[in-house]
Amino acid sequence: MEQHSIIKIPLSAKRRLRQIFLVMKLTASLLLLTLLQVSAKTFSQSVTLKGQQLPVEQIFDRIKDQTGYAFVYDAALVKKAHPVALDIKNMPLADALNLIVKGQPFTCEIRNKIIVVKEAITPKPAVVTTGGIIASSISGKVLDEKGNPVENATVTLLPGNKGTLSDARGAFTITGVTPGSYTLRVTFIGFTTYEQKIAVDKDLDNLQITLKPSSSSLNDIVIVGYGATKKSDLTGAVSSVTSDEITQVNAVSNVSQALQGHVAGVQVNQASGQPGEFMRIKIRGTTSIGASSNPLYVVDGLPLDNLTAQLNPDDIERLEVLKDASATAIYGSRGANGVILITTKRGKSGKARVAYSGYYGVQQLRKKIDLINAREFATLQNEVAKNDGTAIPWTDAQIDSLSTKGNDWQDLVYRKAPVQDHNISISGGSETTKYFTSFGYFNQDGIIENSSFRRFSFRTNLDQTISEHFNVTSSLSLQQSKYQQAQYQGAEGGGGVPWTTMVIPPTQPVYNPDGSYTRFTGVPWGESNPVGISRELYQPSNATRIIGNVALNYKIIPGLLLKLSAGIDKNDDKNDYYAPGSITIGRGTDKDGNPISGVASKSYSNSLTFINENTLSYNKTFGHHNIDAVGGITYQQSSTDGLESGTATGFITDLYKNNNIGAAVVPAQPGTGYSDYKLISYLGRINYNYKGKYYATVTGRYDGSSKFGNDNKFAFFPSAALSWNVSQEEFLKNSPDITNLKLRLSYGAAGNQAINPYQTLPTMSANTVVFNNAQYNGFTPSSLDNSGLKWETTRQFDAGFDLGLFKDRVLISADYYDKRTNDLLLSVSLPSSSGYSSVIQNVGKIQNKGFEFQVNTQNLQGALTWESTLTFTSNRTKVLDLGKDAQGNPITYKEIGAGGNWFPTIVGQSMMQLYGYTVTGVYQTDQEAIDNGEPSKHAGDYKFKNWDGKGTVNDQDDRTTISHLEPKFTFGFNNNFSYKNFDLSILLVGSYGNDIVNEFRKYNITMNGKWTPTQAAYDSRWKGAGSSNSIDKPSATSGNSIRDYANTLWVEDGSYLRLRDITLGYTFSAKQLSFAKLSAIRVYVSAQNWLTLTSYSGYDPEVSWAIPTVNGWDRGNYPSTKSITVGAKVNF
Amino acid sequence: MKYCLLLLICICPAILLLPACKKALQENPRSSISPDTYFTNPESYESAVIGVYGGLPLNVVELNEMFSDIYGTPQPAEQVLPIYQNQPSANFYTSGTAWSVPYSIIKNANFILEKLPAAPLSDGKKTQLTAEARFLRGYAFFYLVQMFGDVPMPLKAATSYQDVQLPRAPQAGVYDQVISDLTFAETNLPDAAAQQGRVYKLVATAMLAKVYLTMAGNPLKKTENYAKARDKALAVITSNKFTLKDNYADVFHNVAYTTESIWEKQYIPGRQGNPMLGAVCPSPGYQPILLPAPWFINSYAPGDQRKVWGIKINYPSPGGGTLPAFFTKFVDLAVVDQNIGPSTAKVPYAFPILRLADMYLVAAEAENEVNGPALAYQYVNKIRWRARINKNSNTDVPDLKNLSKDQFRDAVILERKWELSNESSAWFDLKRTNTFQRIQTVRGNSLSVPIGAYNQTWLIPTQEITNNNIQQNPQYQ
Repeated sequence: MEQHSIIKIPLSAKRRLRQIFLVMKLTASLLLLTLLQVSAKTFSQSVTLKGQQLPVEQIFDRIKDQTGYAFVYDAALVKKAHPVALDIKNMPLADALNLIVKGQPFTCEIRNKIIVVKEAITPKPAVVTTGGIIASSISGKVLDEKGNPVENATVTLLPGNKGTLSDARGAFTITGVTPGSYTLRVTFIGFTTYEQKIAVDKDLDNLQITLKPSSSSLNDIVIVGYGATKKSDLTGAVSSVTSDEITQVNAVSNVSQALQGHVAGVQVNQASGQPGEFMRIKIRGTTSIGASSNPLYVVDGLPLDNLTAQLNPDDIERLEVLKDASATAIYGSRGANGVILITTKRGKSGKARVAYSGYYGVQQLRKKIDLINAREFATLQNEVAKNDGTAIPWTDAQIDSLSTKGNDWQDLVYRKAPVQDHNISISGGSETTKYFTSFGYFNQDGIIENSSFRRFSFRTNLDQTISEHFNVTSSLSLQQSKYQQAQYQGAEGGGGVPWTTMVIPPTQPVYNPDGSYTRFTGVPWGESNPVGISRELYQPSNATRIIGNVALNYKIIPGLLLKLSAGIDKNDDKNDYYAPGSITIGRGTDKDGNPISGVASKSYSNSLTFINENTLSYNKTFGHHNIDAVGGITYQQSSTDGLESGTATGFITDLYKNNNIGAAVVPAQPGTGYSDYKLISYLGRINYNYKGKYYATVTGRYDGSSKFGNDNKFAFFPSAALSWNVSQEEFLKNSPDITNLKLRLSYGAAGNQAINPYQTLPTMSANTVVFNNAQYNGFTPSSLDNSGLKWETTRQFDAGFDLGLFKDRVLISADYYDKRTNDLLLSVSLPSSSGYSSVIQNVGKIQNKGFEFQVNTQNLQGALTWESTLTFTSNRTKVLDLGKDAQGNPITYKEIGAGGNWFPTIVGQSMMQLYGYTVTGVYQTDQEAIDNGEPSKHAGDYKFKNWDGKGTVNDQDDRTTISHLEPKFTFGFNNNFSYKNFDLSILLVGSYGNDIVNEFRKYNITMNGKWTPTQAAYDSRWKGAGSSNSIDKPSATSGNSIRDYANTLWVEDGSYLRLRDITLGYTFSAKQLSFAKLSAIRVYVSAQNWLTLTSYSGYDPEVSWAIPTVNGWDRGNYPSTKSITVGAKVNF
Repeated sequence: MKYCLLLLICICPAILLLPACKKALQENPRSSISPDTYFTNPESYESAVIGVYGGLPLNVVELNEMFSDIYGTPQPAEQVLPIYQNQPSANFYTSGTAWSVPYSIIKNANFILEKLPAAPLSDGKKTQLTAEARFLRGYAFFYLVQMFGDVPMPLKAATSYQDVQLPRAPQAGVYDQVISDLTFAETNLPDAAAQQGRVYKLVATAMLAKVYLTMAGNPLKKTENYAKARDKALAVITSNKFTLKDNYADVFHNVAYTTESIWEKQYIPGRQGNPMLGAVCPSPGYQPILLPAPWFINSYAPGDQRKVWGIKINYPSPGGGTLPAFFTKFVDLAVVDQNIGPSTAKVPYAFPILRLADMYLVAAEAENEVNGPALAYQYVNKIRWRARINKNSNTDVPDLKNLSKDQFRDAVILERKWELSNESSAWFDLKRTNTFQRIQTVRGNSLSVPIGAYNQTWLIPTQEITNNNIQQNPQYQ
């Protein structure tokens, strides 16, 4: 853990001092504080100093060394101080301080074992009445945005500098004010300076001043791996996200979803509208093809294998995203995809504070797709029959008798759905015991029936100081979640609800005459219509997750801290499935071929991770040299085991659901599984800085994982970083415009070990063979020894700068990075004549390079404030190498996993791009098709480009890369306005320059009379030579070629600009609420996803199918929603 | 001092852990087993032989069936239409499956064949298990050599991923290996299998009959094998272990062996279904991959049960109207009537790999090649008689007579199409008889690429070409 017992806080910069020297919300700060408290008694409280021209900062350093008391001061203020001549020996601290402040522009105040250095307030002559002019007094109260009193705020009247400090109730009084016009200025660390013009002609009472937290963040404590540091001391690329930003967008269940638009370098897609769904998150691109590309999540210091919607975002105090190698190398083999550090809320000393926050809202389908109506569909079917020479299915009278619209399946399937969130927290404590406890309830229904996510969450965080040396912190959270997934991943049919809803004919009724659901017959595997599937299918999964850790902090000597921690992550999952016979997927046949109904299964799985981490940290200042080091050893073991019932079919009643599987006609066949892995790591980091100008960080982690081969269990991941705080140099020190400038450079390595256990071992696998119509088990060799397998390593170079302009009203942070991942854990195909098809090997290289920046600006200050944050992310992924083939030639084209031959990976391009034919139009004559090398096609069929102009159009010569799935850039633009008690926030997110492979278009631009096309496609169908060059001829074979072959008709521009959230709030002041004894209420109304500008024709441009390496493949995902919510935050 | 002590307490575990780490990181899986620890008892050897059966049956309907003259236009499904139009790709999963599944059987067979000599089993048991594994290996090579021509011929189990490349062996050598494996199996397999589904002596004999017939035809044209093919087929016929069912329909829609079954792939009723259902069964709005071509429907003689029972024409669709004509050999009509989609229904009808009728047709074809039709009529007419709806009617599927050798050959080939449709014989027969032009005749200009010499072999999967140092077969162009 890093400590900084000298914390420089510019009083002029607006900081929340409360956060820093009262009780810290942050774990790290808390530890720091504990350390300081502990140190108080072991140090002398007297001071010995000698020197003629002692710089004040040096004096502070030496006093700190001697007493252990920390100084909190504004560097700029201390710069104005003059050097002091001293010769004192064992002088009591308070007396020494009095000597030092004499004649200085600052005063010192000892608070909580911390010495706060504040601007001196020039005393003014006593109040006098002169010339008959009566002096007035001004009094009022200083409150924070939540209505809590702010103590020790500096209240000054300008001109004249008459002033005072607010007391514990926030109250202040300035007496003896000569009538006239003044500016009342209130400043307090961590808050924006408050200024108000007042005209004094009589006493002014009950002024209420509400301070707004400052967005300037240079002195914020930033959590990093195994420690914390000041933002100004940071050498790596780390982005921080506050709780306000995390909870800014409502109707969000997942923490990673809340990051969208807030962090440069992080691309977040809400790939589907399914409540509780996992999020697609990439930090600085995709670094792995075969292993996972998900970041590592660390919650209160506990690394978790995955984090879903099971963490309550409302419990989060702050979140850090570690991006460059300097920041991630401390997580070694799990750091390559970036690390997300989550810090949950903790108690503060003081009386109990009870807070409520919650909202309620309604969601609906974001966008409806314009499909043809029943009459048009019948007309289309007639055209198909006419073109094909088959029997005409509809008479004109029948068509006229159809209701125009027919069944609008989108209206039948998608509904309005409520979402609500309620959180209550109680926090407080004494100097030695602090607690935070919360209860949360989140319930989001999906716009498809029977899809939902519900979460109960409970958390208790406790901090206990045991003695001057010991303190214990603990975090315990328990979440119970129920996730009901709609049947939506059935691509191209199979009962997939969004897919079928799109293509099922409007002429088809919901029910058969006998009351059963009709079946979608457009594909052979078409199941019951989506109304039936969504209504009848029962497939909830329940998870209970307990995450807890306890840390014992022991201060050995000043500056040396031992931290021993132990944590567990226990997850119990239960998955239920029951499909009743009323829908086709609930039907089956018994052993005699008789129909039976009811398909049921149930499965349990649980995982347990135990983590023990022991770190020793040391912090020491020698003159201008500051060293801050941490070293540690960690151990982690994880095991997962599961029991699944297998699928049973045939029940006498639907009543059982899946609770009496033993009563099935066709019994289930149960299965069990088990796997485990271990990690042992040694880690270390040294931060050094000289005079707060020159910084260096060296980090290393030596990681051992059980997942790798015997010869490669361990790997070392080092990194180094340099930074230069240019603004501390003389030539910039006094610049009025550049308040901060820091240059950063880092290089280092992190790894990826996200493969399954046991992959390096030779194994025999069981298979099932049927003899005598019964099951026999056989065994065959399924893998050979692969003990040479080792870690995927990502080396990353990062160069960046942080710039603060105009008193930090403009803060810019920008980074360029170049990541190269070597030894990819890639499934390498083998000659299958060996009997083995593939094996994971360390083959290939990927590069991700990019540029990202974040700009925070305070555009308007005063009565109307406007702050904005722009984040910009541009990443290029490029496959550099895929290994060599048997002939020794580089492999340039490779099919990998689920991408198959549609999405091969090609060297020199981003991974997994659509590879196929280019459709240039529709043949107007048969001869045109013959001439172009497609002799089997006719007039009215799609024309594929013959790239080489020779022979037939074939997949050897005439396919090319036809998609660019990676955005040129993504961005977020967040704006916060406040005026009086109103606040308004607007969050825009977007993506530019990316394609989406819209596989829906295989079906909804097809004119074969089996599937409903879009209105646009229908209107441009081919009706004879010269009639259309965009959509083919209505026929039973329409669209055949564009379904069998990947082609450009599936590819659409996926750029978008989205108003992700707009929120208007009103805060009732404490005064307005005094009747109810509430300290603050904020009420707000907000809208999510209400506006999206895109040319994408599908449901949503953020769409992405389940395969993580193909980002932007629309096969019929759950459509996204838009919502309106109203909410309140109340402090009791 | 106190601090030093504490420091030690802190650092000591780290130091102590170091040597222990490597050990702690050893994997000890509980849900899988290594080959070293697998062979713990005599039964484990038999289980490893049973495991070799896991890849059966080998047929890939798109390649072995659909690409033949008897099938009509399929429903466009991924990769189906290009194959139908004679434009297959080396990237298609169909090629991948046809290549990799037989090789996994070969790998599994090689593995146990290396372990058996040292097995703690009686010599008799060892020989029997060896014969069983060699049969399956030979069968897999037989499939591969027909589909792809010259193919790599691993006869040892790979021991390392670095050591898995093999050149293509000339097909004549592969056939020699097939004969060697099957002959060993014929000699050493038991007369009866312990369970239906496992191979026994006459399965090897029957398979040899097919291998010899194939070798005698295109492309090897080792015509001396016709006699061997006839003799092996007759050995099966005259063993009197099997009899033809009187009613053609009774041969199918069974879950277990009939009197006609030589070797079948079975399914577990209620739990598994024969995937052929999905390949042949239409449902409202949908055409499966294997639909009878119009000419083929019209080609049957009057009173042929194989058409009347075996192909449903104008069958009522549960959604109203009629379904396209479809084969019923593997279709449970109740499933159609109840509109249970082929993806839901599990119809466990066994899939015949070898059945007696095939032996009669092999005998007929081989005898005709050796001696002309005179003695061959009896074999083919047995099959024709059985196909008659009215066994006493001379006009129902009349006996063949008075044919020249060439006419008889053509008649038997057509007979095979009627008798063995859907049973994975179609493409092999076209190749053996070098009659791929039939496809051109029937499909005409719906082919993207005309029938050519390249049709003799399928394309080897790209990943094999890339990862093994071998040449691709001729491209379709």
